[in-house]
Order: sequence, then C-alpha cells, then structure tokens
Amino acid sequence: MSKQSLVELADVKSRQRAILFGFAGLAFLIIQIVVHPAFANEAYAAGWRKYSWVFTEVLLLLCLGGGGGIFNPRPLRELINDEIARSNYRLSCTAGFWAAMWCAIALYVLPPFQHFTGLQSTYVVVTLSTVAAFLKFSWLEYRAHAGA
Amino acid sequence: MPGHDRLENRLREERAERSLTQAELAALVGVSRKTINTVENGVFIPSTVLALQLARALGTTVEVLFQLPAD
Repeated sequence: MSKQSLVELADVKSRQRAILFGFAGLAFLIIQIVVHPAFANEAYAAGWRKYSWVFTEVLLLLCLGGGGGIFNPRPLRELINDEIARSNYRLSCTAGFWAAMWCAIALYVLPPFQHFTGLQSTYVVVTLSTVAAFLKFSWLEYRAHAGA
Repeated sequence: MPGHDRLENRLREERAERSLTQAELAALVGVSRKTINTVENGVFIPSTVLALQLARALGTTVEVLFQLPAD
C-alpha cells in the first residue's frame, strides 16, 4: 500500500473512530442511567449486571488508552494515533480527571448524595469521568477532521 | 487552563505553492491528514520535531512556516 493511500485510509478510520467513540460514550451513559447496577438491591448489584459494568468500563478504558483498532496493521495504527491524536488523548484524560474531581467533591459535599455507599460513589465517579473523557476525545478528533 | 500560546503559520500557503494536497504532504511527513489540517487551521501547535519535518518536506525553514504573532 502506498504512503498516500495509507494516509487516506487512516483518515477514514480516524473519522470512524471519532464518531464511534462519541456514540460509545453516550450509549454507555444512557445504559448506566437506565440500569445503574450500583443502586439496585444487593443481590442484583452483585450479579452479572455489576460485572457487565466492570467489563464495559475496562473495555472502554482500553479502547481510549490504546486508541482502538487493534486489528489494523501497525503502520496504519501509528498514523491514526499520530501527534494530534496523542495530544487529543492527553486532553481527554485531563477532562476525565477534572470530571472525576468535581464529581467526587459534589458527592462528598452535597446533601442528596450523603447516603451513597463507597461502591455507589466509585460507580458514579468512574462512569462520569470515563464518559467525559470519551466525549472530549470524540469531539477533539471530530474537530481535527473538520475542513480536511 | 488559561492562555494557550498562539502561533501563526504559512503552512497552507507554502503547501499550495508546491501544489500539494493535505494528504500528499501528510504522506511526505508521515502523519495523518488531520494533523496537517489542525496545524494549518491553528488548532494544534506542532512539536519541534514535526515542525522540522514539515519544513524539510516543503524545502523551507521552520521560521518561514511558523511565526510568533506580532504584538
């Protein structure tokens, strides 16, 4: 494959990733709003729904950290995850960090959340910060393609 | 985070003078087209390495491609 066709293929894959990550972040958030396993009764929370959240969460973090596309050839992955993508990844991690901090402070301070258990608080903080990081990455990548 | 630094660039003009598309320049430098696009639009400030690679690919210098904004 020529260098230019590799660049064009990387462009297509990168656009797809930007859209896919945005949908993944939103879908994850919506599913958690509907299912919220950490707030169900104990037996329910300890069942498969609890582990499906952990599984999805780990999968999303691996996708964000690795840039996804593990089945793509190495030269293509390197192009997709080049300097701007790595910069966008760092910015999205920063967004996730601040989302986690503000969310944790809100849970600690605001009266409606005082009765939350450690498990529930962890669930809320991890879910919202992951969604924030995903949506930020998706938006930055989508913006990077605008006008290209 | 307050006050991102700004950097003006002539990448689009220099590329156009050589009749190169964004994809062609990206292939020459070994980056994606979105990287060229974001640098041209001033959205992304490239690393020193990338700035040097862009200058070399276009046969010019970094100073011609990138300038600090006038006060």
